[in-house]
Amino acid sequence: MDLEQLYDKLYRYCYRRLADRDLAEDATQEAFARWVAAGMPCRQGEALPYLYTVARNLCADEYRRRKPEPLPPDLPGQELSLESIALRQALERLPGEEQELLFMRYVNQERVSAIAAALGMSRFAVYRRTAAALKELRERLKEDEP
Amino acid sequence: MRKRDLKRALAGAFPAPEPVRRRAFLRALPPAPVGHLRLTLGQAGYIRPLTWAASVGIFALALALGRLFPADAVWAAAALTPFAAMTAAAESGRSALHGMEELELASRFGLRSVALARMGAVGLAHLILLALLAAACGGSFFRTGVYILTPYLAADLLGLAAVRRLRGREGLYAAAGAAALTAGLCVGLHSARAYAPANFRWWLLALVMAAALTGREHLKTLHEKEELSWNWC
Repeated sequence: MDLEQLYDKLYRYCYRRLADRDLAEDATQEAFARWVAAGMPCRQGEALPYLYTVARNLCADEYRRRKPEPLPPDLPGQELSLESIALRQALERLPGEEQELLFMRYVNQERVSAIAAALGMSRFAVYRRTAAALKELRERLKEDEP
Repeated sequence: MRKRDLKRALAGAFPAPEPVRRRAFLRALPPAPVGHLRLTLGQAGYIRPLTWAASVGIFALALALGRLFPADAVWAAAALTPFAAMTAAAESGRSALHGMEELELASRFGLRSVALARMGAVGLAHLILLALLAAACGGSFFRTGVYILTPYLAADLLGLAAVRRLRGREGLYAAAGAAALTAGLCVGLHSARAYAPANFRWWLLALVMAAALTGREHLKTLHEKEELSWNWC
């Protein structure tokens, strides 16, 4: 994975949490800067867990300073379908860690091992909890159906 | 919604606006540090396949001769190893041979690091092959090792000196000549019964001298490449 892909994934992760392009880029760049200052401790492909951990902490700090607004329903030129909006609303009603798991696994399409390292859990726990979160999300979506 | 559709829908449900400062930021990032082992393994990939093939071929021929003529296995191996040393010496002068020194000096890893990594990779591979050859020749591993390592180091010393002093193809031809001379000397020494156990102490002395002089020649080669870097700056 090249640095641009790493940057994009981290930025998307920060944007979901902060809902602000500038703040998300600041957090992404700060995470990268800390990774560089630490002497790039992991090889590029294995840097993801390190970067996610730093980014998560930075986003949490920012969240405490200023509670961010919810994500805008869509972006200029990228209109979301009703299905996607319903999916986002259902996901936001899940507990924080489950949201994080589903986002990393299916939105950012991370490997299970990278998620396990970033969230400090075993691969088995990631599999199990992701499956449970996905099941819960489906149930929520079913409840929301008219 | 089916599970597969749900996963697909999730992938597109969180679009983010294009980051605007990405390119400038990533361009300003320093390159990732590379350890000695990674550099050596990376540079090993740039060594010509012909160098590896020649090395393996020479050692395979020495092994085959040892099998065919078990009584002459040691001196036959000793007479062939200088040609393997020639391939190592030729590899150290490859940048100069193709007129790539200036370009390599301007690259991320200096010519000195690259030369050191390549010499290390070839040297390590040859050392492993020499050990296998010494074990295959039979008799005392240590004694056989001394007999075959001494001409290897002597040819490496002469080849490196030739490649360092003579530029381009002349250096390569001189290294080949040095290898042939060392191999011829090994054949001559066999005829003069120099491999007799009574003469082993002289072989040990020759090995120590060859190792010391080869080490000095390697340092000189690397120092010269460092001087080139300074001149380039």
